[in-house]
Amino acid sequence: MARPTYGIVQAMLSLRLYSPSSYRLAAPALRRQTRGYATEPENTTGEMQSSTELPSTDPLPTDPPSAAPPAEAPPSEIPRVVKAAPQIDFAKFTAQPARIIPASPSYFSGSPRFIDNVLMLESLQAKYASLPIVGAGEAPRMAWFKLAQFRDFVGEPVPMKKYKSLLKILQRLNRIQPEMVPQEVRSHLGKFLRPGNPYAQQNVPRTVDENGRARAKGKRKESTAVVQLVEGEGEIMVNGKSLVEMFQRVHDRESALWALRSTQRMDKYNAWITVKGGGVTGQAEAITLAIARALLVHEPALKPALRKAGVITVDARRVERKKPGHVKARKMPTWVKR
Amino acid sequence: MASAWCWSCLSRLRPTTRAFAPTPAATPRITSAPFHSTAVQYANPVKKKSTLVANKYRQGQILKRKKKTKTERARPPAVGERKALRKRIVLSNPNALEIEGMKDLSPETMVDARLRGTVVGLPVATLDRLRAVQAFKPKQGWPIFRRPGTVLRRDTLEMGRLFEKISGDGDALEKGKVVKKIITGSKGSGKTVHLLQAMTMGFLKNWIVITVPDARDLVCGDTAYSPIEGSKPTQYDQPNAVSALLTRTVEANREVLSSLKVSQKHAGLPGLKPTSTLEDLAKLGFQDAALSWKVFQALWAEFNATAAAPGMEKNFEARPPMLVAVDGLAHWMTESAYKASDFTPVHAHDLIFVQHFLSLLKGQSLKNGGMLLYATSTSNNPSSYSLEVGLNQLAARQAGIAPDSEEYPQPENYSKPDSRVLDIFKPDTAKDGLELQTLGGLTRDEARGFLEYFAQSGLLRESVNEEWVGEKWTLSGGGIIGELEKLGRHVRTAAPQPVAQPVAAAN
Amino acid sequence: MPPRLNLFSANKAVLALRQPTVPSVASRSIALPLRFRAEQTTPAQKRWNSSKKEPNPDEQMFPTQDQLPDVSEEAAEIDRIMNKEKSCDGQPAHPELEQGTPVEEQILQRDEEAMKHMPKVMQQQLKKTKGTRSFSTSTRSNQPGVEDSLQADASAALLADMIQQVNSQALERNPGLKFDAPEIPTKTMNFRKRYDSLQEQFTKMLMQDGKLARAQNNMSIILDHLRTSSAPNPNPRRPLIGGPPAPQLPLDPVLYLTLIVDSVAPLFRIRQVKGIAGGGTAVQIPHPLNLRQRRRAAIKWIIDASDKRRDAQLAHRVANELVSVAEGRSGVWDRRDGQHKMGISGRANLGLAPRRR
Repeated sequence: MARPTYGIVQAMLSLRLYSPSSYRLAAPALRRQTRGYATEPENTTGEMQSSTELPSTDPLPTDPPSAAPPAEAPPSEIPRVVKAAPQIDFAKFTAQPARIIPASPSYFSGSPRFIDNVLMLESLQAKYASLPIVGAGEAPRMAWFKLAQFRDFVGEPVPMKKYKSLLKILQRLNRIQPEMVPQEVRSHLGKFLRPGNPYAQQNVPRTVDENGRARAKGKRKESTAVVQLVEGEGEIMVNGKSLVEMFQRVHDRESALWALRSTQRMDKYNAWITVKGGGVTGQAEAITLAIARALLVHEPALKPALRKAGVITVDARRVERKKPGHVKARKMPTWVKR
Repeated sequence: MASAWCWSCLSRLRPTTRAFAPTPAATPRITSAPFHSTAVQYANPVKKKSTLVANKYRQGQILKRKKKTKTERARPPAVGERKALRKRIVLSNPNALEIEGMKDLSPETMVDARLRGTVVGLPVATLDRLRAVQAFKPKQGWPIFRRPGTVLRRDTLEMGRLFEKISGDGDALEKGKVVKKIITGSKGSGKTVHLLQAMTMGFLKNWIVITVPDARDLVCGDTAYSPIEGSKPTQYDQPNAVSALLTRTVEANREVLSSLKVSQKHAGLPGLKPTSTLEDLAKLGFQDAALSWKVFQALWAEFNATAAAPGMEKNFEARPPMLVAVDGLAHWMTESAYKASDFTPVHAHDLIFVQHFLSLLKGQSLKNGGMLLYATSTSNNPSSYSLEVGLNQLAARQAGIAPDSEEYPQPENYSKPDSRVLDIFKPDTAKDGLELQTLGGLTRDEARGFLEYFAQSGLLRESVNEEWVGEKWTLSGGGIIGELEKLGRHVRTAAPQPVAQPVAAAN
Repeated sequence: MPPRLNLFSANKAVLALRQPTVPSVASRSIALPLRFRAEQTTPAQKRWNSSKKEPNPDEQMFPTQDQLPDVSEEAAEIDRIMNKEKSCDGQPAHPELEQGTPVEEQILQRDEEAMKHMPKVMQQQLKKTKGTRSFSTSTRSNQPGVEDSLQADASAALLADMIQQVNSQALERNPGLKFDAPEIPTKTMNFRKRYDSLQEQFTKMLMQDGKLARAQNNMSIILDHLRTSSAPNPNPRRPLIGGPPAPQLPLDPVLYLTLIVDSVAPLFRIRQVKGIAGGGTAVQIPHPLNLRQRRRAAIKWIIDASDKRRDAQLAHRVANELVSVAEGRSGVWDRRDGQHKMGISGRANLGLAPRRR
């Protein structure tokens, strides 16, 4: 399908701007259609059928039907019974345009349904521009369609940039003060929401279990650590060994317990740790993260301190994969003549 | 609209010829081999022709790279210098602060429970003797303090009390008792320093101190060995090692040995006079290495003499108790690096030197009382399964598990335990049985005393409080003293940054 | 006199008095299996502590553990001294040691100052106990035995009550915390920036083949060397900038290292710019460096110079070079002076340098 060009969009916009009311009056029947392709043959409503028959039956067309479907095959057989032509209903004649008008003003653009949506939202925005709004942070959080989902929704290849402009309008409409949001806006915004609003469900805060243990996981490099943190006197067990047996370097030991150390909680908790995978540094720093998370379960108010100590920041770096044609992840083979 | 380029910029562009140089020409065009598999445009441009040396006939081109020019390095250190540096023992740091009111280890302080957790200095008089018995090891943190000192922990005080009991002022019950201990513990838990403390106490109490500072020296194949004729099975003598032992013993115990006279008759020692002292006797051994084992046996008999031989009572004095300290026991529990004549490895127990010290673990070995301290080691240590089983059995007996009960640890099936090793740890019928002492970590209070010692020496620039000590205690795996020492000297935080003043450029 | 009973530490010492701060699970216990429910009713009341607090039987008193006698003991002691003559029947009239004595009775009655400054909680408690209760709130105990035990426990209960109040106040002040609020971490308390910046830079430059642990080990050897070698004897023509006098330097090895590196750090580097003078000759133009760049240059020079030393270990070579820099003997100084000289002569070329617009 051809991509919509800006010229067409401009044209469509101008169409809407200059004759919106006359257009609506002219084709009320067409406006009801949800899918407004004028040339579609499978229209089921009687009105449309009659309108497609019109060119052939109408003896006095005001304009030559320039947009008449050429695809209409000539009658394959001659009707046996010749009927008289129906009486001309002049009342209907004035209401109906002389030629077929596309259902959507953006019909000739590359992505008519997307543009329809944009036009609809823009009109809403213009209509309710005077309503009071709240700050961007206070507006209810809405899970709009992701780009791929939106493409499925409209069935057209919408570019990222254009979808972003649409999102901007959605966000502006969403900022209308919640008590004063018109029903119309609410229903239209609802169309653009992902099924099952992910922001609607609240996370249940983790608590210590009935034995006073907080359990948390942490990862770093290839290592995974699971920590059970209990109030105690600063006794640490890692994989059933003491901290010294597990980590020979002072540096690693310090980093493993940094969360407790930076909050002066070293002699107030005991930890039972299982850690697997990776090397020494990875294991130590996986423990760091896990202990910090477990400590947050015990004392949520420590979060700013831990954040500042840098221990609840997840280090998501992993080893970069090796690629074909490369010696390592990035290294290229040296070129040798021959 | 003003141009983004100013005229001066444009005018300066002119002399740069590079700007006009056609860049594509810079990449080499390879026309000779159009079908090689590597993409040309990805390759690095070849810098110099000289790296590729084209051989003339029938040879492919080979890649030769210039070797990196090595920077001019001075000649490597002389032979033996590296080892000397590695083994060097420094006991004083003149920069560290002197601690006021630091007590010395003395017969009074070594049993004083009030001093528990404080660091006491090693008496200056004993330092040379301790050096003579090689009690200090290089990586024990001695060189950063003003003077060597050790922390009085629970085990030290208990040992001090034992020393006092065995020395027995007058009519004490435990006088002349023999205490046999095997000291184990995790890495850095202070086993060797525990031996050092024992030696210091031995010197302070005027005991005879005999040490084997590293059991490995006897089995690693470094000293000469020779089979003893007529022994069945063949046993081996190590004259140089015995001679070194005699030297150590004389150096360290000169005072005691010179005051004691020979009281027994010793055959085969021509230079010995009835009036000579034990020092003279020992000297015979290290003047002539071939005699050394005989001399050692004579000396041992003198040490253990409870009464003089008939006719020699005149100069007899009661012998003091004896301390025998061995470090690195596991080396003696496997086969040694020596080979027998049929090229089978010699078991460590076949070395007569080793056998002598191991036999002391059985029965009433020290006639005048004393202490046997045999420590295991965790660094540069052979793994000996039999020793492990033996120590487990010892621990089980100590915990009250009878040797015939099911819970008593036994070697696993098909594990081929060394029966000679297991024999050592068999239950003993003598009243002074073998004990196992496991050194753990310091308590928090002891750790605090130890770390305060760092702070007072000016090495630690942090306030030592409860919380901080608790943190270090946890980081050291529950007060493992070697780790605490590392943490104490670990420099982490520094003084605030000095503002780098811009020095005058003319400088 | 300050009050001797620290309410915060008393809370820690008396495990049974610890207050529950764990959100009670009793509310959701219905959903749990039956066998758990019975267990939970009591545990939910206290905080769990996995370490045992049993005193070691062979624990002795240490000098660090210098404790003042208990309030009750002290009272008993005073009583014994005061009423020595009176107690003729062998029944000393001192207060019961077993039951303990309220703090305010013993200390605060004697001490006006402490009375004034005692915690608000205690003041309130005193006020409460002084007034007589109205008839409607007083009850008569039916069981005389209970009455007695209540009397005996009165002081302990009072203490517990006070602790509870203090605790709840502390909790109100900082919800979501179980212990004292931590100090705001300084920059050195950041996980990634735990070492001094220069120390870290030096360590990273010592690193070979990406072996950081080894480099850190070398760094600690260097610092130990600086700590144990005798204090530098600085050359007056090449002094270390700032800092304490030389004899004090070895006690702070990191500062010592910083001073050495900063003293020989060049202020600028020389850029060889071709093409501005014409004729293909390069023009030397000084270019200023920031602190980190200057240190980098100095560290590089020091490590390069240490390669010419004879010591076996890298750490010893570098450490010896550092000491010789501190004493003004090293060739690094010459290198820096040469750089600065070139920079001075190149000042004239600054005008030629193309400026970035």
